Amino acid sequence: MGEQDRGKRLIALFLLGMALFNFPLLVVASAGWTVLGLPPLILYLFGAWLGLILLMALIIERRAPGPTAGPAAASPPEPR
Amino acid sequence: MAQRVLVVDDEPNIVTSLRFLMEREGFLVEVASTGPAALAALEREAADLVLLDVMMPELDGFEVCRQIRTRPEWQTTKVVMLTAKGRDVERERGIALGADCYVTKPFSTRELVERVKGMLQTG
Amino acid sequence: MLDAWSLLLVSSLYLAVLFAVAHYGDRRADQGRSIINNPYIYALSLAVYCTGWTFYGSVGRAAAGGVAFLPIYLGPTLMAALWWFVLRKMLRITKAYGVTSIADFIGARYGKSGLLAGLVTVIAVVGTVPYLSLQLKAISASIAVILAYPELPQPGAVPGASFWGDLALYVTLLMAAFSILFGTRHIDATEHHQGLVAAIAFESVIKLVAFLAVGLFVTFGLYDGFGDIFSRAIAAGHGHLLTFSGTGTGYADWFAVVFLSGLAILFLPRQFQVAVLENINERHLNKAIWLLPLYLLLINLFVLPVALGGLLRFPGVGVDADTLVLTLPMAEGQRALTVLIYLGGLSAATAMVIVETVALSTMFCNDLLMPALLRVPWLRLNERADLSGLLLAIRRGAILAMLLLAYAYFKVVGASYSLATTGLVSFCAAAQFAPPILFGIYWKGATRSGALLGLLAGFGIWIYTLLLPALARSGWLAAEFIEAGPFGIAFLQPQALFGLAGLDPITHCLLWSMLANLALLIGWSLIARQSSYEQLQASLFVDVDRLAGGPHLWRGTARVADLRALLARYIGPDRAEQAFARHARARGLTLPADAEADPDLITLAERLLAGAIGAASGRVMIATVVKGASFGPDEVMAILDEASQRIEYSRQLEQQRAALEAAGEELRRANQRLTELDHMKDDFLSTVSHELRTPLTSIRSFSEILLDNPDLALAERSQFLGIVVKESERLTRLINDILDMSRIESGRMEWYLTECDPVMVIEDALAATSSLFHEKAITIERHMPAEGPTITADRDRLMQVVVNLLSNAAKFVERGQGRVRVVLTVQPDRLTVGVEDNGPGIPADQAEAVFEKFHQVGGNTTTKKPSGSGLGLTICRRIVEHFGGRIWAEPAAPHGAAFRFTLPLAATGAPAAEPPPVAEQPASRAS
Repeated sequence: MGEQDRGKRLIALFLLGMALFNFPLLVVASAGWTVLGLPPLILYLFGAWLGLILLMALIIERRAPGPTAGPAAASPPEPR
Repeated sequence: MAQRVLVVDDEPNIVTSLRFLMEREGFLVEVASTGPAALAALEREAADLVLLDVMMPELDGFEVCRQIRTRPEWQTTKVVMLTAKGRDVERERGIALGADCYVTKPFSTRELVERVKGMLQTG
Repeated sequence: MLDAWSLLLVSSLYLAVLFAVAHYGDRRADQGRSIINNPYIYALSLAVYCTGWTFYGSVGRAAAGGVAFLPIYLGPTLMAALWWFVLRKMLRITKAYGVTSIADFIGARYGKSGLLAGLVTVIAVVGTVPYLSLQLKAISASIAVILAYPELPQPGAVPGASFWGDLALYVTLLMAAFSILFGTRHIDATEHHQGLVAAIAFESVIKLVAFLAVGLFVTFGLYDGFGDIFSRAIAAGHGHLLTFSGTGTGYADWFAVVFLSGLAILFLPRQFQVAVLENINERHLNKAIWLLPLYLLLINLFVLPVALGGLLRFPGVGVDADTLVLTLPMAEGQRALTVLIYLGGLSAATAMVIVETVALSTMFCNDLLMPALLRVPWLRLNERADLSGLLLAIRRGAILAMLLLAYAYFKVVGASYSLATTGLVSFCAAAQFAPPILFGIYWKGATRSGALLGLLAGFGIWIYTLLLPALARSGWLAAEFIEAGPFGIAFLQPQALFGLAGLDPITHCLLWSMLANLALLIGWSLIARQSSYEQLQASLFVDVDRLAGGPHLWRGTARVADLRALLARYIGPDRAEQAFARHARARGLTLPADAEADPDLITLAERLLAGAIGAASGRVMIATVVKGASFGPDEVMAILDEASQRIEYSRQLEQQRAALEAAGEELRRANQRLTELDHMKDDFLSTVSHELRTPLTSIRSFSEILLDNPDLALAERSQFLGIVVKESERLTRLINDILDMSRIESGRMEWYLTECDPVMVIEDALAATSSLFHEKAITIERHMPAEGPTITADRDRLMQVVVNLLSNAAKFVERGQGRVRVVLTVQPDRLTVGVEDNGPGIPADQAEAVFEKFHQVGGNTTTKKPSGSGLGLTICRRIVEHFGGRIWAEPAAPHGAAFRFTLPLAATGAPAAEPPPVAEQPASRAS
């Protein structure tokens, strides 16, 4: 993933966040019922927030595929 | 006493014609067909004049001329260079090496004889 | 619970630890082993965003409005996603041009405008004072609450007010001392305050741990987890706090706070300080983008449970919700937890105060006071030997003054807004910096006058709609000012401007101020013209990646000693000396005092000076020692254009250079070939001339001899005539060969192709040369089939080849003992003709050379010169190759030379005639 691609995805994430934390989704989430005693608005706000953070971390920390990829993709050391 | 002329050329027919011309003028003629042979002949007996072809295998005329001029006892020997290559550079090179005269082949037999006679008289 | 002395001891111990951390950070920085050089410390330092307001105020806001506290943290989360571009660019600009504060940043962008930087400073100071007062209030309140135990603080009527008014003053003075110790160690503001950052990061950890501790205590200690708290809260009638409508804010207000806090996370002076100025590695940004939001999420996780827990714990009693974090554990008698919470709140507040005052004092000194002082002639500051002490004093004084101002605000206005709202008031002021910065780094067209007007309007509206009403609420202005508008003009009501009523005051202010700010910035920039110096700075900012470190703006000359003296006055002789020594070392120069400073050094000096007294003043000061003008802005623009063009074309140039080099190489080779050809032609002509003149010489000489000597003997006469005839023949052959050669080489040779039998061709050639062999009594051996395969070739040319080889062989063998063998072998695809002699042979290294023009072999060793033209073998090779065959020479057995050539047989129709076995012919055709 190139620097430009990361930037574009982060902008998309920004726009997604703008939509998530706004009318009308907030109204929808303000329902009267609860899940395990937790009100849906709280679940929704913190869930979406955490989701956004995880996506940011994923976009930024994921290494570009290729020879510099993580150990899983690394080829076994060549015998010398 | 007759003056000695050494004729040096690798073309036998040209040697033949030069020997004839020189002998007719009353010179004693010695011949050689290569550079080393020419120097050896001079070693045996110095000549008053050398008719020297430039284009010869082994040791060319320029080199023979240069060696003649390094020997003090041969300083009076006249050197006439004969060449089939008529370029000016070669003429100058010959003169610079100490040749007294430079003649381009084919030459006029009369002119050559006159020149040789003239050089041997003044010398 | 804790008496005053214990509290003082705990506080002192904590501040001592903090100071130790900072000292350690500074020492490590001095040793070049920075402890803050990692993304986690950077992200933690950014959490200075969470102040005492977060620590105490969020719970207060949640107790009143449910999730209404959240947008203050959602905004930064969203904005963090955009840091990838925005903050990165600001970092690059700051590092490239040595920016020292947010005021310096804006001033520098708009033509190093001192006026603009000054205005930004004023806005920052005025806008931040309420915020500082908030921290003082938070600390003082927490102390008061602890001291008043077991009494619980009532809303609006904080216990022991008369006593802790003075307490706040002590807190103020302590904070000031602490900030001065931390923040003004060095005079060069472009240097990182590494110790300060380390301490801030440490405090971020403390406040997070403290808040998580109280959260866990309330959620799992007092109650049975999240579900339990929420269920009980709903049962107790607090369910409305868990819906959006319960926040008491509209969607517009919600969104406004998201937007506002998104701007605040970058443009609050303290955020700019830690995020931009204190950043030491741009790569730390990447991790911070998601780590900071994660921190914000964690510290807010327990806000609602704590708030609800408080509401449940103190039903109906009415406890000041802003102190719930503290009162809950206190009410449960949790002594240790109370101390931890107190320290967490102290951390949050001190961190904010320290960073904010350091940032503001730098701005105040560099961008407001010094430029003014330097313009006052009678102060003669220009003539002072060492101003660094004065500069430090100014900054320290500014810190103290600012905190005292905050104390005054706290005493005078303090109670008018809640903690959270007071914070948002400051946010609104800081948000005014967003348009000039964001437009400034992406739009070259933004002008100084546009930015100035936008800021003035935005700030004016902020004062009118937020600050004045606050003063009115605290009784310093008539209340009617808010209710009815100035002079009763309802249209101008400060919190319903132009009839825009029904909004939260913050939203209202944000809307109008941003509208005015943006409209004037954009509108005026479109109308007004930029000065060329503004254009230059705009280009440097917008195209920072392309232009940073590009041209030097100084072309005048300055003596090293003058520059050093100037610098020493502002940053101190030692630091000036250090900077020059570093510069000299890095470039491997010596800098004698009377030497002329290079442009790099002048630029360095300007940056150091800008770090001490601001960009605008720095430039003016440098101009006083640089003889000869600096480049005019127009000239620099031209240089920049040139530079960017250079960069743009450099790639193409590189390609062109490579192409040129290749072309040059080709040309050189072509030239060399031509020169060789020229020499060859020269040599060729010279040789041809020689070869022609030699027989001609004999012919002419003997002709003249015969002419001049009519009395020659008959024998002699016929000998001479014979020579003339022979030499004429030689001349004729030579001329024919030369003609053939030139025809073949120029491709004008005419080939008469017929079907012929090679055996017949060889026989004819032998017949043509029989006289030669006869003359020298040479034995001929034939090894040929009776009838060969039919080939298509030019019969005459083929015969010419064989004749040539035969006469060559005849020439080199000894008279009487010569033996020449002619061999013809036929293979399926080709036939091979060989002519072998028992002559002297050809040296191996000459085997190829004999085919060159005028190459003479063999005659050298004997007095007898072969009479060939020197072209025969060359012509043979050309002919054979024309028919697709090869010709070569090799040693013959047992001695002598063998010339062989091949001719290809047509694939079809070639009779597979087997050659007769030739015993003595080895099949070797090695070449």
